[in-house]
Amino acid sequence: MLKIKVNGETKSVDVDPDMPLLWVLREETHLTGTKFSCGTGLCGACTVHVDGVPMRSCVLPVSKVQNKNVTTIEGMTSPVVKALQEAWVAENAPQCGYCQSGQIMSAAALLEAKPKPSDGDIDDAMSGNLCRCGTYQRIRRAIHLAADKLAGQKVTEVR
Amino acid sequence: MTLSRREFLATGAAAAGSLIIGVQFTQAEEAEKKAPWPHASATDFQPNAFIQVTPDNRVILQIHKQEMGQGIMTGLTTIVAEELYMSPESIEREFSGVHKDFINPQFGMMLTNASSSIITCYQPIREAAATVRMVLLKAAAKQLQVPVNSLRIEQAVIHHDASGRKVELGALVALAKTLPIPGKLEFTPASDYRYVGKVERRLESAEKVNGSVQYGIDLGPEDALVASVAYCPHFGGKLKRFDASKAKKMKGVVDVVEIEHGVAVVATNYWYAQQAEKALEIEWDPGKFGNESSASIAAEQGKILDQGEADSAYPQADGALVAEYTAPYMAYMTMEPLNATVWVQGDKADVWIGSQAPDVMGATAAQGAGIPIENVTVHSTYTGGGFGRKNNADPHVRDAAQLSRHTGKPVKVILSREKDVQNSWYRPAVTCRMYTEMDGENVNGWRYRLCTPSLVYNLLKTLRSIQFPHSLPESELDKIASGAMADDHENIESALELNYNFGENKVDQHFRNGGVPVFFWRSVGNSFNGFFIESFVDEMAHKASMDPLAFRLKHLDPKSMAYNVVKLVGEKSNWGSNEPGRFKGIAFEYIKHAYVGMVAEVSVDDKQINVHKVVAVVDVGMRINPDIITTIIESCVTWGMSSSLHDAITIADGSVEQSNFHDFSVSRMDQAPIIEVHQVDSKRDPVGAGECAVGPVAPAIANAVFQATGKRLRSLPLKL
Repeated sequence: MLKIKVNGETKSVDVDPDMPLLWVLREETHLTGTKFSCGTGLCGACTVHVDGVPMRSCVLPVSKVQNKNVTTIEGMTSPVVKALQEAWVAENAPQCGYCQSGQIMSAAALLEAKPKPSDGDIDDAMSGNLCRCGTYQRIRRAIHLAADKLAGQKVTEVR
Repeated sequence: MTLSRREFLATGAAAAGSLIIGVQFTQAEEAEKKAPWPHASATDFQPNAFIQVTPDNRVILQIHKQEMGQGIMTGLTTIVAEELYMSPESIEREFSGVHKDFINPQFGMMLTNASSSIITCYQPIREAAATVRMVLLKAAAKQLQVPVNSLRIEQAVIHHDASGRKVELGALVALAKTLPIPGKLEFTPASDYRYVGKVERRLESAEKVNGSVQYGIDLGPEDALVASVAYCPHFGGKLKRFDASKAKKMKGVVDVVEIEHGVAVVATNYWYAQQAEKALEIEWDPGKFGNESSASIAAEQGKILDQGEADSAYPQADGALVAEYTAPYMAYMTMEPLNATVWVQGDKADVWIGSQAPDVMGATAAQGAGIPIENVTVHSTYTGGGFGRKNNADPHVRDAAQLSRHTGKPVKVILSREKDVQNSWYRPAVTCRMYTEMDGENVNGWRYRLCTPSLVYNLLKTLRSIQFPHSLPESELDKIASGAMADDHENIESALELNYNFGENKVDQHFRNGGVPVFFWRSVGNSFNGFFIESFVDEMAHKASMDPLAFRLKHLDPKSMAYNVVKLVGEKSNWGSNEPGRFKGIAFEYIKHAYVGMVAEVSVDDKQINVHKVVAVVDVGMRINPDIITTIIESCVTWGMSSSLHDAITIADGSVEQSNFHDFSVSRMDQAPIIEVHQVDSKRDPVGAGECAVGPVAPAIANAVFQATGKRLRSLPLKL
């Protein structure tokens, strides 16, 4: 039995210690908001926070996160995330939506570290998150919108 | 296309003589004719398959199209909202089950494909909603004892303003059920529109940003077993032998089973299944296509075109311009990998899947489980990208059914990304030769010659499990599929519908079917024909010493929608004036009644092509949700950028050489250009936008690269 702390809750799971966190989350604890897509850390769809740091859960053995705080999209409740989610909706960012949990996780870590990111900061933080629908332009705008709102600036939404 | 897919099948049957095909589907259709709607309710008012009103005052719309990112859920709901005078947000949405009333009239199956949803649904959905409104108003008039024209419907309440009385729709359900359907429908006048053309936000976005949305991969019983299937890496190859002794002993493994398409590892967790699959010792027979490679396929295509030229002796006049272009195979790479969950219980089965073809998936599962189609219930949901990939009788659905039958448990089959890349279907690799005769600025004829694998041939092969008796020998199926190729115009659609007045337009197509299975990839033939045609038109402009925009306008009808979008994109992109180091290229596209003009702004840095900005002008008829159309055009451009600049599927030893996003690298955030979309304010009926702006991306970029370097790039992906 391994003990992991997910979204503030301690869970015991009877799995191989090498099993990637993604498959523990999805199939053992049934938290399906974290997505499988590439399985090799190339696309970012499986991004979760481990002690606040964005990590690719598809290549992260579950044994490595014992005694750490794992946060999935379902457990993200901070004002930063709320602002991002509202901005995502306002900018019509999601299309098929499958990559968007991971996009939000990466964007949240970005804004926590850099409350007012430049386009270059966004490229650096978000280029590891693939979107086959091509929502990049909307994601960029949504991150700026959320940053402005969090900074208390009066913002006019683009549309 | 001129024939429905079902008619193609009939063609195939005729070609094969007395063979009876489509048995399974025909039986299902007979049963379906009498079948109630899957969502039928004895207590609701349900005058049609799409909309129901419940006694507790809810209005529910059946979403019978796959929402895969294109926004059709919001589109259909907006159309209903306008006719019912209630906000789209207040209309409940359910994914429909499978029923004949949901069949796509263009294809005879329940497909969400070919940009056909808005074209085929706009009028029927309006009619369905107008019917609901008119009957409910009639019921209110009866109940309140007032004339219908003294009533007003607003947000699920009918008001009689003169007396101040009102009644909720739910309270009228019982009475409405007894009233006749109106003979003549009245639609909400366009002058009253509050939602069509104005609703901007997707209805389902909130659940897509908080992790609560469920895709096929998230559905099904929580205790479902999970399977990973080892498929033959060689197209057309088969299993010779395997040893599962190591795999069977591994943690989490429930069973290792030889099934029709390979060797399946069934486990309690997908990761266990994957690990055990790696421990299988398998020997494959590479089959008759084992020596096929991208180079051998291209060489054969060239030879076939050479032969055609020898036969037709095309005259080579002084003003002739000749060029050969090529495009490679292409993978789909939907972010949600293919998956299906099937639970066979006795002679019944449940299927959980997000699919562009739920009826086909149900039939595939029925075949796998060995039960009648009408005993299968398909639970539809969102899908994480479709692009044409989730549109046919996928082997993994049959695998899941066979494995559930075998284990007695619900089984989810997931394809890893590597399998999605290597055991898939692909956009065809093609070779094209174009010829034209010019006299200065004038064009005296155009010839378009394409060598390609046939999409229809492959369609019949992939439909095998549901359309043909299992006992049908492969050679007989091959005859049927070959016969159906005579009507396959899928890959030359845009060449046949050339908008330019270039004199005689001769198009001929030569088929060369190898082992690589091909299928309908977002924008189908237009994805490469757009590149070939619009690059060659640029070559023609250069030969005529004309500006590429002016040359196009000269050869388009000034009153046409084509002319309009080309002219407008010139204006919007500031054509003719470039920032230092930047160059522009233009392209035009016509596909499925949509018109697109596009300009790409590019710089070239040694061998690196940088795309800075793309301006698109689109005419897709009346706009239901304008900003969603813009997002879809942005999507088309980003999609087209990937296939223009990075991606190719290449073949060696009858296998795909790529395996994941590291060697099939779709566009990333830092490569995304500024995309500016302008929409023509059109009054014609709406048409589909989902694929329309893919085709012009590659030629707009390639034409800009020519401006920058003088180098004409005639192969995709574009490499300097």
